[in-house]
Amino acid sequence: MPELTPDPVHPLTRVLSLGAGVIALYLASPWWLFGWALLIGGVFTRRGNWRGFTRALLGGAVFGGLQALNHRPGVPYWDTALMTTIRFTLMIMGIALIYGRGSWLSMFSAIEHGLKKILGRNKAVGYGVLTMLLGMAFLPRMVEDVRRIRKDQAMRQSLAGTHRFRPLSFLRPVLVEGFLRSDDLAEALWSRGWRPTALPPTSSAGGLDGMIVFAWVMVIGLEVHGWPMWH
Amino acid sequence: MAWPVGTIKVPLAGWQVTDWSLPGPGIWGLAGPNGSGKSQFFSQLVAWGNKPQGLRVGLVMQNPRLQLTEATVWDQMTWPFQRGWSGRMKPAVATRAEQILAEWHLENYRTSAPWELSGGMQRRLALASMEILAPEVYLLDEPLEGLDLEHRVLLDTKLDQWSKTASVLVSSHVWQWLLVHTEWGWWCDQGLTWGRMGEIWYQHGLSPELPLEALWRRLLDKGAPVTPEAWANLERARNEVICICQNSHQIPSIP
Repeated sequence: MPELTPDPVHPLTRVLSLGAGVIALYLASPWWLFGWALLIGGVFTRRGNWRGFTRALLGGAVFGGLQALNHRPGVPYWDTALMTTIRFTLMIMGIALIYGRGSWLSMFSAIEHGLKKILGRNKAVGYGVLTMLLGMAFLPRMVEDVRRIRKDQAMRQSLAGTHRFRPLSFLRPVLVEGFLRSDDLAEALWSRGWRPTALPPTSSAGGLDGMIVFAWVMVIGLEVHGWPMWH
Repeated sequence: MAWPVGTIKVPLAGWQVTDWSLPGPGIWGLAGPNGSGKSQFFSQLVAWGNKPQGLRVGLVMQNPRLQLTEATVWDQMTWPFQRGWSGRMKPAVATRAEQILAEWHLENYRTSAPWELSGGMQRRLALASMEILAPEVYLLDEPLEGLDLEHRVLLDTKLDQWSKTASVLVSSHVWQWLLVHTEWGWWCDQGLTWGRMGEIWYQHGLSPELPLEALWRRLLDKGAPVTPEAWANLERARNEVICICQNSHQIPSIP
């Protein structure tokens, strides 16, 4: 087994970077900045019982987002929403590529850990994380299936003599779907501590995490004050 | 030797050819207006290549970006040879890939992403990654696009080399280049018409682009005994003019 080195960035920082990017899309009020700064800080400190507090923040964020969507007098919101979504999706995908390289496992593990702190021993947490893990495990192989279907790549493989006739390849998504939908299977695997590979050690949040979070706070804050003029 | 292909339907351009045959080793031209179905015709030949009776057909698309699917130049070259999940391949493949990359002057870009390369370099990479596959039929769709002079000369050398053992079908709108490199080919417009490329140029070439082309058109219009191919070949044009002068003992005057 290769030696596992601690990740320089806390997995939750990565996850929260993505979340902050999504929220930045719908930001309309300085209260968002405040709420998210509190939430990020709250999750990172990992001290005390933040359960009710975090729940309130999350609920408030969702409620505020819906309000921001519905109450924008005089702004053709839905016309600009598509372009904004595309722009921010690209940004978030970029962040995912930079920060999420090779550490989805630890990110899911951290999400599970964080959610269990908030929600307690909820069956849905383990089930959800297992779903994400299976999805990530099968995704590359599904991409491989799709690549074989591409005419050009099939041509190149057949020229090189590596193209295989795989008439049953359509079964893979069916199997994955079966795994994901099977409560018994998922819970049995997960409750027995099954993981795809060993979980990498996660160091506690450090200075780099603080800088990333601060950068996000700046991005969100600047956007609240209308710079740059993205909307 | 010609390979019988049979009926080829080009759906979007709305035409088909029956009893079509693919000529043997050599360079064959394909010319025609925009939208006449040249690229679709190439796609149909790729589909024929997938059939059991088909030859090993390799297509370099008009837009090379569509073929650059891997993360690095090296992977782009070797991906089709990689077997299984671990991506292992024969050592000979790596040697050959290094050699071909060096020939196309891409050896310093092994770890670069293909999408970072310039348009001409992407074209070279697409051509190189096809060369390593050594198909029996090369289909080159506008291969000159984006190539600088140095690499056009390199492409010419490669075409001569490939055409000794493979059929190389080249589609291009650059008549001068087509006439220098291909003697026979097809005019593609609501079907395929086989003929000498010079005659196809004379029948279907649009308004002249170069002074020599204009001169040659006028000579042909006047029925002068010159060949259509010679306008693209200065030496040949000169010899033909000298022949006319020697036979008639006077310099021909063009009204």
